[in-house]
Amino acid sequence: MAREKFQTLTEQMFYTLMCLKEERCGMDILDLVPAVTGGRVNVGSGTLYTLLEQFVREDMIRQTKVEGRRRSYILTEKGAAMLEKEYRRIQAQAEDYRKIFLQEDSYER
Amino acid sequence: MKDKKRRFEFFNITDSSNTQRHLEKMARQGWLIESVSSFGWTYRKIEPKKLKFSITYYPKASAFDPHPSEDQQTLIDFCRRTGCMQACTVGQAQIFYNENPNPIPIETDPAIELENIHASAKRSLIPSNVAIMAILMLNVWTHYRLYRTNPLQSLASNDIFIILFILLLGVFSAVKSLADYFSWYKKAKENLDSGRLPAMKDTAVYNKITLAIIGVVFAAYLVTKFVSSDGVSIRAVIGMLIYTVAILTALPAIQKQLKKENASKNTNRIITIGFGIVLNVSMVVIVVMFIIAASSQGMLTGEETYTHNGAVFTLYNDDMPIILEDFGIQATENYTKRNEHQSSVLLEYSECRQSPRFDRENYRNLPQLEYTLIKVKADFLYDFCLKTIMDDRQDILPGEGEEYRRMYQTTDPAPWGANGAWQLMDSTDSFAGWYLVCYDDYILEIKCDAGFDTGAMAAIGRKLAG
Repeated sequence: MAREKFQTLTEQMFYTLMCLKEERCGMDILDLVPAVTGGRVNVGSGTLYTLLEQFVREDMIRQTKVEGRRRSYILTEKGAAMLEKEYRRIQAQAEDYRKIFLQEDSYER
Repeated sequence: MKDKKRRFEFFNITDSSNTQRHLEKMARQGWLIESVSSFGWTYRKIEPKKLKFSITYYPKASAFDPHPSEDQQTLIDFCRRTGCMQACTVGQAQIFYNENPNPIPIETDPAIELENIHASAKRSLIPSNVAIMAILMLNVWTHYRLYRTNPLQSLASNDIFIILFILLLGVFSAVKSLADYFSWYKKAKENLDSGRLPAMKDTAVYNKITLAIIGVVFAAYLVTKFVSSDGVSIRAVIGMLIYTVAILTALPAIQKQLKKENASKNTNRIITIGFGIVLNVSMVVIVVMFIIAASSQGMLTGEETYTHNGAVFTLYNDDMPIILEDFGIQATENYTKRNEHQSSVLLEYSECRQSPRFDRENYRNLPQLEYTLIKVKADFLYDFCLKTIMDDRQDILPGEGEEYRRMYQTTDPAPWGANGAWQLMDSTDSFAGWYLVCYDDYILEIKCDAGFDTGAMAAIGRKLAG
């Protein structure tokens, strides 16, 4: 089930994984996602907690360091592949959009 | 000025919308939620302020945890980072508040939020309601078996109606709770794309109505008990009430103390549940022993007792509707008169016995009277009562050569002034003085070793006919 679940990534999953290109802890992700997206995307603290747990379980990220309750994670190859796949999907969507709307625009012009 | 305040709230914690709204209102009035238990919600005094509350679910939490686990503390740290402070926990439900009027929600992905809620429900709401349903249904079954064994006594007791009513209301509430949850879960799953979970059903109205019904029914029961019952029953009911309140107070106190002592989740669970079982079983044992002691020795009713062959017997002097004296037999001295009377909205049931004391010389040969008198208040039960008594008494057993038959045979009702009369007969003629007699409102099954002459029959008729 969980595998099916990550066939496509939600925006929050996408940004969380993206933040873990470098080793980071949960608190960093909470700060970084709104910073990167200009406040457009926020990951709720409860949602992030569950996502990190699920990503670890699915081997998409791995825990690198535990300092007290501060745990750091980094993207695994599998996680990176998922992220890449999602990027390609979004890119394909954008390309399709461009083909239809931007070509029409130029035609009209 | 009090720093703390306890209130009984009528909605369930699962009813997030109501809970959040209510907690926000309380904070505006200067009260912050501190703990939630079956004895009310406790609030602590704060500066009145606008706070935003949210409830999130942590499936791995337990009401028996001595303190939040490291993992749970991580979630609390994450929440603190976004300005959400933990107010209290109720099992898996975690209540947070935020001073920011537009905080980042704790849950920003409804699919993940729903997963957590459902995982928590699978650990608490669903099994607890299933367990409640199973226990209550077992109780219903036990009462049904009791009814099958003694249908007339059962119908003549308001207790069984009250108990069944409360048990069935409990079963209904558990079923409703599960049905509400699953219908909400289905709706939430179907509407995940909308970006937010639907509100859970308002539980306040149902809880208020249910509590009001239970309160009224129970108060009416206590009043009828005080008016119509003997001292033993009243004391037994009061004793059970006090004991139940004691159990309900003791168990959370034990659970809380074990948490303070840092007992592990499993130790706490085993000890608390173990105590619950022991206290409940001991309550039943105490009540049964109390009733046996009271009824056999007249300990609490103030009845006179006497000892014969080392055993203690009670000398009853109850009012009986028919006595040997009605037939011209003097049986006042050294006799005991026992009337075990029960009454409900449907029937009045009296089991009466007037018999000589066991310590009287030759007591076996002295006249004695035994009968069951039923006053049928609900007409539709008349035939059922009659058939029940007949079926209960009549018997056919295989014997050597010929089978043994004990049957009620029709006899003339006129001497009894009755609508119908039957005499119990068997091949040994050992039931010569045993009759079943029907009047408009009464059914009488009567037995007297001395038999009944027409004068005795007429005397009974005068008492019960019309």
